[in-house]
Amino acid sequence: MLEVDLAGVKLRNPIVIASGILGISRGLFLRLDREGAGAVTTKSVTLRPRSGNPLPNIVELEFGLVNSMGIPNPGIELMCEEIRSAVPHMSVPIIGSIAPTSAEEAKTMASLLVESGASAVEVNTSCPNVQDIGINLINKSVELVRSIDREVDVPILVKVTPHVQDVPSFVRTLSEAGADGFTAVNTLKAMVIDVDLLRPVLGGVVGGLSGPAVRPVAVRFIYEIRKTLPGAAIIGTGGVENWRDAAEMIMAGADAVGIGTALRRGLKVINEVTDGLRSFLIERGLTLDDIRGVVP
Amino acid sequence: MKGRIRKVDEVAEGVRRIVVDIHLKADPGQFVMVWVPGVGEAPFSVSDIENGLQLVVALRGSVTRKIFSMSEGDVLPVRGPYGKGFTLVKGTVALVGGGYGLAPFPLLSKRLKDLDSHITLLLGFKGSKNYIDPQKVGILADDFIVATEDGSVGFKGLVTEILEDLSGYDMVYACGPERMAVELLRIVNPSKVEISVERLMRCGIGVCGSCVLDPLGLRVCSDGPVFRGDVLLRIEDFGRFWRGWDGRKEEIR
Ligand SMILES: Cc1cc2nc3c(=O)[nH]c(=O)nc-3n(C[C@H](O)[C@H](O)[C@H](O)COP(=O)(O)OP(=O)(O)OC[C@H]3O[C@@H](n4cnc5c(N)ncnc54)[C@H](O)[C@@H]3O)c2cc1C
Ligand SMILES: Cc1cc2nc3c(=O)[nH]c(=O)nc-3n(C[C@H](O)[C@H](O)[C@H](O)COP(=O)(O)O)c2cc1C
Ligand code: FES
Repeated sequence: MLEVDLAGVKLRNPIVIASGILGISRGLFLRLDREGAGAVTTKSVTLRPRSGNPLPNIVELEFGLVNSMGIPNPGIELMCEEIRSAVPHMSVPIIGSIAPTSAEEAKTMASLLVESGASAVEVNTSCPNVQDIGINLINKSVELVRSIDREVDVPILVKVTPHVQDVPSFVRTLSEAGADGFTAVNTLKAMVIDVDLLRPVLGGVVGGLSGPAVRPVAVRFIYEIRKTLPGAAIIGTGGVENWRDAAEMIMAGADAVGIGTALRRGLKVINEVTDGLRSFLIERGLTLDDIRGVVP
Repeated sequence: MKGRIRKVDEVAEGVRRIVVDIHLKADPGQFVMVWVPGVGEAPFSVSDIENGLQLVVALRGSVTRKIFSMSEGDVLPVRGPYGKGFTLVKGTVALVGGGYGLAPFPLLSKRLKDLDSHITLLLGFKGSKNYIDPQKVGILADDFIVATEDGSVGFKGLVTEILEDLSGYDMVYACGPERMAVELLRIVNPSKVEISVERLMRCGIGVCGSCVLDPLGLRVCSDGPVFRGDVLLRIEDFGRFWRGWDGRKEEIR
């Protein structure tokens, strides 16, 4: 009863592991599958290996995390090897996330990911922790999506930054360029200062806020995207900690729900969320379709 | 959490025992992430928690060099404790350590003694310069055997070479170079050994994947750092590869 169709990709349940959360190796893809995820997104990958930002990369707060990883990843080739060796053993789809510097790179990486078995491509023009990629390419999003759309047949999702001002025109333009859906949201630019030591905590100085603090922002993004594009696929992401939060995102209009920060409490959170959703639907005699985008 | 450094002792060449005024609860085998502002952050085993947080730090690179330049009164920020530590077993146990790998043993030995376990401590070092007196860091043991590679203290050889018969132990706890751990798994019943494993860590809280052990997808920071021997035998990377800052596998020297 939890199955969803995400732009044609079938998920056994709506819970998608968010990009940058554990999706870096064959063993982790398979483990997240076993732990009950509906789909797994890869760490955003770049053409060449990338070492990321100096540590500390993470600050834990009561209401979430601020991270400045800086997209450390082994590069597209090795990521594709991990995907290729996992896919034959996976029962859920892998969404390949890319953080390209140009349309050319976007096209190359997207087709390599699809060749390796990724069921969808997510374009990250929203990571706030990098100088050369991520959010700094937001103005190129349309160009990137177009070049990928010409190259691959799988759904293309755009990972949306909560810094976008005019959500309707942003998503409409991307949809016209070939985006099939949106993952909203990425982290919100943030900073933490240690007042005893009079200095910023993160090695990257500025980072991105995730977790419960951003959830209402994510809910509003989903709501606006759904109102603008009734047919787009939406993975609502940001601060989902339990089934109620997941239900909230679906009621705002999400097809699927991303989970990231909540996994700091353990991988059991995945099943807790799906079990909770299922019980809720059974008790109320509802289906996911009944509650999706139900709010006026 | 942060606290001032209360005491610094050089316990061997390039190894220091540091006691910080931080009072926390931790299980033996858990670790903390120590932040050195302006330089970086690194994981260290919780060595003891009785009179403040004790760490045993070996000089390695930039973070540890900066820690070595600190002295009493300096502030040390840490986060944690993190991870899953050793399973405490009541009975006859052995603690096997190589170099600074003895770091978690003070707290571990105290908890084992709370259960009245009989502890045999086996430590290996390169030579006398590297020798760490277990009493100086607060390890409790009923029997103590030491080996050095050059024979300058105790038996000559590797600590794993002096362990002929470890079959009589209810549990063998180990921490040290991965080569030592691999050797150990050849000579003991793997389901009766628990080993603390090191991998590069970024988040320390189980979300980033940097510390993964494949093919099982185990995270050293949160599924470990302590793993049972029979689990480690199923890890292709164990004893062979380690992932660098960009996640690429590098051979363990
Ligand atoms: C769970 C765990 C517990 C540890 N406990 C202790 C301890 O009690 N005492 C102790 O002295 N050391 C301990 N270490 C190792 C310690 O974290 C590294 O020595 C330290 O990170 C090196 O930092 P550096 O900046 O001085 O060296 P760097 O300049 O960063 O590198 C020097 C070498 O250290 C290794 N290294 C670098 N970063 C890490 C890292 N994050 N984790 C492990 N190794 C790394 C690399 O092989 C590198 O080549 C532990 C590691 C782990 C994972
Ligand atoms: C440690 C960490 C790493 C992340 N890395 C990426 C990444 O590589 N690419 C990306 O698009 N988003 C990345 N994100 C953002 C998440 O995918 C997600 O959008 C955000 O964290 C909000 O969801 P959450 O509150 O459930 O974590 C990362 C988040 C965290 C906490
Ligand atoms: S260090 Fe991030 S998952 Fe272990």
